[in-house]
Amino acid sequence: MTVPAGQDAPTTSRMQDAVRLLLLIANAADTLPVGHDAPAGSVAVFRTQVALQKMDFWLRNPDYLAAFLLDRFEETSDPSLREQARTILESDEPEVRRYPMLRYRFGAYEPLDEALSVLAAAGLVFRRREGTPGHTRQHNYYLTDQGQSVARDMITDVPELKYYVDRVRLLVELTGGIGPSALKDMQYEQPEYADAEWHTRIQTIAPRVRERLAAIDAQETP
Amino acid sequence: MTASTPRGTLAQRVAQRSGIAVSHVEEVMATHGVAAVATPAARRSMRVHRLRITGSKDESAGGGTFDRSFAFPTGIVMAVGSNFVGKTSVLEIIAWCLRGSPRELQPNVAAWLASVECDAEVNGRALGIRLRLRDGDLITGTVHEAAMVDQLDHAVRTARPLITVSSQDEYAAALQELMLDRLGLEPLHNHDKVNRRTQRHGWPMYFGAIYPPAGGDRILIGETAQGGLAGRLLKVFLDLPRAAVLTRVQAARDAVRGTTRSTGVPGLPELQGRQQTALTTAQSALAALPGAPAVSAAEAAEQVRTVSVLLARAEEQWADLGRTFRLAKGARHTDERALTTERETVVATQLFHGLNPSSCPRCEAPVTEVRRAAEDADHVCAVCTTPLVGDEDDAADLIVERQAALAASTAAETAALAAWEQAEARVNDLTGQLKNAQAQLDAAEAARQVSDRLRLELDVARAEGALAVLAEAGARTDDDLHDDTGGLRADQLLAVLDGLVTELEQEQAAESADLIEAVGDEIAELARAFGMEAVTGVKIRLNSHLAIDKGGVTGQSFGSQSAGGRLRLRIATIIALLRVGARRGVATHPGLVMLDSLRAEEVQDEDAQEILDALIEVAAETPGLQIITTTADQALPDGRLDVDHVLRPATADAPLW
Repeated sequence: MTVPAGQDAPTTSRMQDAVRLLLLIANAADTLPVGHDAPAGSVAVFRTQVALQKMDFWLRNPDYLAAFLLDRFEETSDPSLREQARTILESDEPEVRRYPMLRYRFGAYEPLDEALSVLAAAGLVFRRREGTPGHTRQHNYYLTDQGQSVARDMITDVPELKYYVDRVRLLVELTGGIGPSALKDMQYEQPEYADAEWHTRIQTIAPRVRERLAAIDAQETP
Repeated sequence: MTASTPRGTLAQRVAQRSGIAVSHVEEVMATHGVAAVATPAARRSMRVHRLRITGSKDESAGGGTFDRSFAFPTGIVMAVGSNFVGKTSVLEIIAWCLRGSPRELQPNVAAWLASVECDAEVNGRALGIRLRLRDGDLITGTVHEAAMVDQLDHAVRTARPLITVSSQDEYAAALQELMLDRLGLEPLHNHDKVNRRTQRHGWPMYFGAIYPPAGGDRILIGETAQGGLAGRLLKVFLDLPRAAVLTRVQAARDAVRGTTRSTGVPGLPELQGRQQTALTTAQSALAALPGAPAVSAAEAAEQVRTVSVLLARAEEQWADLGRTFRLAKGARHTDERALTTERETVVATQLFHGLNPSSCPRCEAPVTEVRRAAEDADHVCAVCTTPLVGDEDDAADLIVERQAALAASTAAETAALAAWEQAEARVNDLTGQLKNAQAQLDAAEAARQVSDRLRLELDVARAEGALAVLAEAGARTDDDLHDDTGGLRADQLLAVLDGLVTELEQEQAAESADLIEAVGDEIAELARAFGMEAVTGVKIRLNSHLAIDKGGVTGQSFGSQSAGGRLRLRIATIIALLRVGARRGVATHPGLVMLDSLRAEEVQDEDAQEILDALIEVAAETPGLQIITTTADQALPDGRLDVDHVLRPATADAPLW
């Protein structure tokens, strides 16, 4: 349950993973359609492992999230997006809150099974395969009403985890309506992400994104 | 030599001549620096004692380093050597030291030189000139002064130099000021009719009388035939009363005349406008010159070097401390992340374990009430029945440990940042210092503009003087002309200047006619001694060149003589000046003469021998004379000059240096 304070490869604990996944699923899951075959007590469903891992990548890499915010700012000219990016970039967050992921086949990958078992044992989230046996089409994540209330009460019950509550809320707002594959493509737009070799950790882009913000500022105040 | 005559003061005579009131005339005289009475010029003397040159020759000249010293006694010193072995270079290097720049030193020879030392004497004071050169450019130059030549070495080592420069332009400007001052000479002016402006000729012009052009040149002395300057130069060296003053008034007169001519009717407003323009131009040019430098260029350059080194070190230190800071920051980040991770893990564990276990994470089979009771009672996991071990205390210890680590790394980061910022402040400070030093260097390098400043100040003074003279003249009627107050119209000013020129010329003519005649006679006598037996008489015309009576034809010009004749007459003129000056106790030529190639192609062997014999005789009779000359004829000095008066290469065909 303790975590080594390694220099090169900071890793999350299983419990941290469980917190992030619960919050992501609870905030981004869709209401269960009527008549859907779901585990007992389920109230909502989060579709696909790919989408879950993509969303989690942004949680674990604030530098990439800041780049995503600047992309959105340039598309929409909404200054609040730039200011959210600024809050991240002008803090130590890209360094202190960064937990690099391995690049694996289709993108950022880290086994979710251990974290999911924590959630399943407590009866908060269950995973189900979709498709015929041996031909898994995708994984779906079912949120129980217990899971929903734990996620909802987390901000008051465990204020130490406020960071994740706020960040997941922002992320869901940003990615609302974007499908899993589109999410993955967005991350590939960063060369450090696309160029990372398989099984190597994805490099930080914090210096480049900070320069980009400075360039945007310089452009706006000639 | 005084200016007074039975006809009254100079101002009174000019007033009478021009019909302008005395007070106006005095005003014009003051404006143009014409004193009521001429004062005699100071004695002049100049000689070379020692020359030392060091450096290395390029491969085409045989390569190798050289360090050669030459001693120059008084009398005649002759540098001997076949062509292309540096005897002319010796004269050119002396000229570099004493003229301010070489006249025609070959660039490849100049590039060989690393240092030049020249000990000389000017008006009785010893001057030590030290030049450092690189690739033919002057890098640094100093001139030290001492009472005696043998004290120069000590002075160079211990005393502050009279002149410290770090460029060729600076050296030429500084040396000019020194030489004109020491020899009591004024810059010569003449009006250039073509460009309608007044030109100023400085020390190099005078040096033309010390180091005259080679045999074939058609100029008597000096460096240019323009505007009768050679003749004027001759008169300055003859110490004719107010020769320089006359030159200046003539230039002013010519300038005013040019103005009135060009406008047809002398229009006062236009004349005032021109003077005002001249004043404004000179003033703004003067204002545009950088301020006087606080330090010499060499000192400023040294300061730039020193600060540059300090800055380079400070920047290196700044970069080092920057790396240290980034390392410390990275360590703090790691500690902060470890603490965050630990805290979040603890609270998340408490959160999830606080919940009742509901199902097996593998098969999702519900956890039974029996199992839950067993967990509470027996401390075994309700899901898998493994005994539970409380590790909350361990986690709390670890958090304390991580907090301590974070506190330490934060303190280290703060200290590293402070050190880095301090280094940055030092870099900024030194950058500022370097900028100042560079500005001082720029200012010092601009010191070569010192001569520009002098000229512009003179221009300002002139224009102001002219404007004072012209002031209010436009409002005056002819009845006011003899009023003692107020200024003059252009035509009136011209009349005063014309009167001044005429009076000064008459003054010169009256008081120096016999002096000039004596010099003419002396030139003729010397010319005959130099082998021009047909010369019966030489006259120096008041406003032009020599007039030579030769072979029954009177009034021949200098330029019409043969090359050999011109060489003889040139030497004869300089020697005549010296001898007449010595006899009459008046200041004339400073006594140093440098003559290249006595045995030039235009001069016959016997001529060279004849001239040398005559020179030796003349030198014996003329104290203080030093003639430095060169010849390619190895045998020429044999039996004529002592060994210490001959500069020879080690072997006949070897280079002189």
